[in-house]
Amino acid sequence: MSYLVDVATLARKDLRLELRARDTVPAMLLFVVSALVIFHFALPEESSGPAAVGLLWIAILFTALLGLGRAFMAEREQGLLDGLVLAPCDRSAIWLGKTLSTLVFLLLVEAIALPAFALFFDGSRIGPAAIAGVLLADLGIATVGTLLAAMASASRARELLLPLLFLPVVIPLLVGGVGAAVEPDPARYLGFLGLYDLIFAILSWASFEYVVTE
Amino acid sequence: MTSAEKYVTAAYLVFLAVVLVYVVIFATKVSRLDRELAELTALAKGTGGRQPAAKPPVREADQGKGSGETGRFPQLPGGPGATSARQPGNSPEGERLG
Amino acid sequence: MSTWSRNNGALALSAAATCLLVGGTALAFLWVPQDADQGFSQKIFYLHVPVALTAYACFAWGAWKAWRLLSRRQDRYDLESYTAVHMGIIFGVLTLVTGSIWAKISWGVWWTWSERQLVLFLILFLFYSAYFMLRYSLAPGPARANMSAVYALFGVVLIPVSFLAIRLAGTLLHPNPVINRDGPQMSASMFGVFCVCLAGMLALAAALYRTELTGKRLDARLRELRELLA
Repeated sequence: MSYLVDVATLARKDLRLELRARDTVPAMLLFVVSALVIFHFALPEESSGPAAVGLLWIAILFTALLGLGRAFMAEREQGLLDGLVLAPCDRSAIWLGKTLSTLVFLLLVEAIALPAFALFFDGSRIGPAAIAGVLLADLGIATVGTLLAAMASASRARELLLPLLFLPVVIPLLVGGVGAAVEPDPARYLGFLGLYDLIFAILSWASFEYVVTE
Repeated sequence: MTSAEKYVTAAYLVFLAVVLVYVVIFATKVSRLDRELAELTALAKGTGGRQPAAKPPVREADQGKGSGETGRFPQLPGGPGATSARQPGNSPEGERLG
Repeated sequence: MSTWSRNNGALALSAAATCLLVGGTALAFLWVPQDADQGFSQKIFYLHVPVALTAYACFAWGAWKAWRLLSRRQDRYDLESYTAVHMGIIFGVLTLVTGSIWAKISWGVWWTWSERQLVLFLILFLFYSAYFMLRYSLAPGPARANMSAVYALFGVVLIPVSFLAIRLAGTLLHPNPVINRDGPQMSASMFGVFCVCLAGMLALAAALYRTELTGKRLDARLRELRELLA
């Protein structure tokens, strides 16, 4: 039980920090809306077809990257990660706490991004299956992204490295999410997203310890 | 030669090219290692005679180089690609360090 | 590992690779009957598929060594895992190039998204290239070894997941059925020659792996020696 208490404490710490600083989430919000506007100008012909859903997903992925890039920044800059690692809690609790707070940020941003997309492009594309796809993919993004962000934050080239590590791994999420939104039979895609989430959540949870310790 | 034959040949040639490029890169690496070893043995001799070094690290690459030469620097190049101009030749002293 | 195996393993493997690959290629061009459907261009199959399977094998070997690193915590597995991934990406690039040539022969284009193996290798190429970026941006040490190992394990899990994703995406992006380029049936002789080529390619990868590993170990030991003497 103390494991879950640790996770809750860590997640709450991140959320409270963000509430006080208010820098990451507003930046992500502004970024996602700007991206959607740019996409309209980038594809004036296509932007009302099914291809537009792809644009939404690109916006979500890159906004997530923005947020993840800052995930471990505070810890690394102030050497807090060593302190957390020495703390008497399971290392994977750090991962889970960070994943939960990232998830909350993503959901907050998407609560604005999806209506914005419906407004700028074709609102009828955002049905319940599409939303379910976004939620499931958020899980995958948060779990894998947190692990990769921890890896990238340890290197010299943090902001450069995270997209390189992140993008190949989330291609399956993109396929699942777009498929769920576009296909008449979304069940396969949603099932696939669930499978991805399960596999990579377990893998990330188990291997986080090796990423932060030596 | 039909176009299909040309493309198939091209594919096999690409494979051959990659393997040969690998050989070239590895040969460069080996000659660099050889030079470094010569440098280090000179360094070792310079710091007061033969050091009881941990292990002779070049048994695998440095095979069959002939008998060691005492004292003077050997004039003949010791192995493949040993074009080190600044070192006075490579010596198979790797075996003698152990 | 016995001393004979350590000293002569690379030798034995490269000799085996030479015989198998030369023999296999000769059989492919001179003996095996030509495929009825695809004609001469099918011959590329004896090169492309063994290269692809060898790439998978290298990545799997790298992940195995990575697992050993994380469970046994012995330094040497880091170098072995890294070398295996290095081999894997070389063969991966070869797969992409030979696959592209085969696409050109079969469909007249240098790239097609409906060829699932090629798309998978593209994703893997991106993934494992990032592996090298990760390694180069970290200082050598146990931290880098651990992170590389975790990443290599992620890679090997990503292979089947990505393949599933590409299959799903196939129906999304290309409603046309994918042409099965292996041909409907492989005769026994074709399969035999294929196996010879595959064995040869695996032996080549193993030989290169050993040589590369020896080279890297020599490098490390020389550096160690330099530090001891300086």
